Amino acid sequence: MFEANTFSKSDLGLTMDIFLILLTCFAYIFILVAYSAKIVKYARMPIHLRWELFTATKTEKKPYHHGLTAFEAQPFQSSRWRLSNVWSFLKEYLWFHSYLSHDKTYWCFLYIAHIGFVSLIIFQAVCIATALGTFLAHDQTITAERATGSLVALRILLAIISFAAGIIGNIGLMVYRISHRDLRLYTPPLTFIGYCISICTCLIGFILLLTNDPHFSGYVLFFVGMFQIKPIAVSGLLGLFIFLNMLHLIYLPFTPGFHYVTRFFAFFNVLWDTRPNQKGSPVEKAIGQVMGKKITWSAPHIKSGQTWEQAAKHRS
Amino acid sequence: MAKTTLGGIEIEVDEDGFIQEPEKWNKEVAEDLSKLEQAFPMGEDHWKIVNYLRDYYLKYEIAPPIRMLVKQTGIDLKTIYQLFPGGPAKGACKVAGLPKPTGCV
Amino acid sequence: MRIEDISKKSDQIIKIRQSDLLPLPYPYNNPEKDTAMRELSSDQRERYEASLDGVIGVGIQRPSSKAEEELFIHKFLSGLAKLFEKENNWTFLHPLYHSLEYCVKCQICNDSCPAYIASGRKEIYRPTYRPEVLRRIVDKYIKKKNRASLKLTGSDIELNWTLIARLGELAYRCTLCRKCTQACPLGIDNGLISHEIRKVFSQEMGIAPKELHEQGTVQQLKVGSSTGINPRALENIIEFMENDIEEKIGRKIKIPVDKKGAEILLLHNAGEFMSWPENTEAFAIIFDAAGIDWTLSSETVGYDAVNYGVWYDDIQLARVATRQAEIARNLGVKKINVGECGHAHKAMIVVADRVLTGDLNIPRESALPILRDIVVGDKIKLDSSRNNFPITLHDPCNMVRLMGIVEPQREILKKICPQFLEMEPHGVDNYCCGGGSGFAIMQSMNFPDWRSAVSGRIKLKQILEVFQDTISPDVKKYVCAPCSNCKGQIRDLLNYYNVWDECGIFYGGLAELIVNAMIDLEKPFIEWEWH
Repeated sequence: MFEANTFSKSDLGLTMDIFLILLTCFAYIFILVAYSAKIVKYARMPIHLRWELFTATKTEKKPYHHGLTAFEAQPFQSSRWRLSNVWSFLKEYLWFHSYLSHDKTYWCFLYIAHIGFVSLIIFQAVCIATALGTFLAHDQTITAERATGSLVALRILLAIISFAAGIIGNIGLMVYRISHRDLRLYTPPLTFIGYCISICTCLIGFILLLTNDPHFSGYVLFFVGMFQIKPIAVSGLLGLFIFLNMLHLIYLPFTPGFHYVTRFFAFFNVLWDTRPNQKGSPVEKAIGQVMGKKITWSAPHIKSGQTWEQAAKHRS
Repeated sequence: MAKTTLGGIEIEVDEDGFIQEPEKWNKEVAEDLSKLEQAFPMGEDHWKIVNYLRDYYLKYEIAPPIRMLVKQTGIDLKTIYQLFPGGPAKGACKVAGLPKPTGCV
Repeated sequence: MRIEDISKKSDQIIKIRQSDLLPLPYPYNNPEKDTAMRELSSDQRERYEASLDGVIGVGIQRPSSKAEEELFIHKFLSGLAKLFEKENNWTFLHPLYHSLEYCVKCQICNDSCPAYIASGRKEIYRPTYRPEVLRRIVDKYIKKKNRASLKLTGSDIELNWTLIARLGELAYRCTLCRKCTQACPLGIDNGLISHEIRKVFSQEMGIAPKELHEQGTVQQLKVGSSTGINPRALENIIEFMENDIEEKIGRKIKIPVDKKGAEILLLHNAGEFMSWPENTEAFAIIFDAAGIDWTLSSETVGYDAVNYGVWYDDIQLARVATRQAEIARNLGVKKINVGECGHAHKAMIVVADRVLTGDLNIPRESALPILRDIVVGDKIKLDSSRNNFPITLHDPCNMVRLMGIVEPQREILKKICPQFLEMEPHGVDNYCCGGGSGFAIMQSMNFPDWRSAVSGRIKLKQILEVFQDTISPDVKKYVCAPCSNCKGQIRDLLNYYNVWDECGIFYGGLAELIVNAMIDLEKPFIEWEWH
């Protein structure tokens, strides 16, 4: 076992360590800010015309509707939170139901890749939690022994799952997307870069696990160093692992990956949004606001500068 | 829009050959249109249909419903298709100088 | 082809070959029975943009000068920018944003597109193709991303006149049936993208198919109906219908018009008056027999349920819906019921719910449940043996997938049609008739051929398949389509392939079948000779 403080540090090494800490902080803050901004943007979207789909991802066996009117006070149609909606949404979240029933091979790699991704996130959370525990214990002689803590088994398990799944899933997806014309044609270089980052991260993680640091203690110590604002040196390989991992986080907001959240708005606020425009309802209020907005469309049949309300009543 | 010569006069027609200047329509124009619609030479029944369509259009600014045409002229749909292979709307109406039917018809 | 090829000048991006098209079942498995699409004339090709697929739907005229060309591009971009502004496009901003930004191009939706499948999977018809082109344009010319990020996100595209004109045509190769939206696990709405492109063309550039705009919403607001029926002609047609009813059922019925304070204002698609008056007559007969307090309106716009705005222009949508609601308010009716017209259902009952404010927000619902209550509740005496012929049901996308009106029509058919057969797939999973979003009324040049040969082909396949056991023309069969637009499309499909002569398949609405089963009628109400 090694003592964390006994590493001799060159200037370059120290710079590297500081850089990795800064990068890690930046990546976490960046993804938090980027995603929060997107959530705020979506939550603040103006009301839209009703454009619902009766069923979206699901097929109800016995769908019945009595004709649908804004004034039909049936809880059936007014609630977008009905169980069947929530369930069909969860089916997509939990086992990618549509992919599974459409293309099993693609589903398989996609699902494995996502398991890899999610376990990598949990793995990081466990490492951070452990590091935080160690840091808060105010122990002056931080040892690797202590740092590994009691979560070590879970940590290793998560590491193995995430690295293995990440490698298999992402290689599979990459090969699949390259070998199928209709996918290849529509896949931007960024997506392939993402696969490569993931694969490299996981490969290095594996090598670390097998050779250098079987308990992944170095990673926990890295976070301890971050918390105490005093870098604890990491090996070159671990440094690379951290670098790639953070690069992947920074990469995410530039991809459609945030559909995890935006699809929630798409289903519950658009495709299942059947809230009627009833007197005194929030919907009526929102409509009142948007109908007062000015139009600047410039086709001849539209009078630019009118409000929506005026345009709707305009007779040409 | 393109111009074409029908019955010896220049008339504007749309992409599908319907005349755009209904006031220029006359018997000669109708006969020339009937050639394009494989409804030439025009016999008594042709004229019966064309005149009915024409009169209805002048009165109501629209073609009559097909069923009304059949009922009022006493010529059934099958015969109309024999007389005007393009059918009542695309064939007979065109020869009668009516604009192309619009809407969900 | 590559995606960016849409801006490369060429004679035609794709050619629709008969041999590529989706195979049809007997008797159309014989290629000789299949009909080839008409080619455009060289003169038409010269004047209009036709280099997408050799078909003209919109009819975008070629620019006559460089300045005109540049103005066209400029207008397109200014319109595109407005799509992303709350003031100009609150109506669809949210779903547009989501659909453009979060599609992962997994292509799960591909199999749901009637045009894509039937064409033999032509790249340009793929449901994700238009959105991908639009996304690239937005990234490069609206968001003005830098070169590096354009490369990384694969946003290679060169904006020019050809691309825009082709995209404008391409927006009219999607029927807005939104089956692709239903297939998407992420809630991406590729149909909406077509809708939004159409809006840029109409609301900013003043370009839309004549049948939808000039002769559609504009004529409706001015004359009273997109069919051109003015109030005087309506009066004449109603008189004709009353006489026709008397002849058919042996009893005179007064069709109520402008009856103040009636329970129901019934809105029919005015195309029914022109082409299928038996449908509006059937409603009158049923409502009369069931003692329903209803009325028609003779006000301009008040007798035509259609609202083509829902397909291409939000402002026209709002205008038509507002006018219809004003008429109902002035009549003092309790509610509006929409007859057998799918898009009018969707537009008036659902979409317009968020433009009708104050006293214009009158209860609006479908007429189908009323029919269902009459039939299932035994309000009139019916004998199902009068409908003893094979019948299948076409589900209009607007009513079914987009509104959930799935069961009323089935309950009716199950009760009054002993030989009712479901086609596959059906209900919310149905395929579009191929005439959706205005296609059924777009009658110019070779567009009707395209919607029969391509977008409607899968519907024909379904119809032929469901009737395979009785496919001989000796057995009369009926496709029930409770929607004017679908009826027009199915009529054209059956004519295009000569299906009546080959297979004895006829089509019609729902109300006619109910009247046909009424026991006090001496002769059948359905007249098969109107094929």
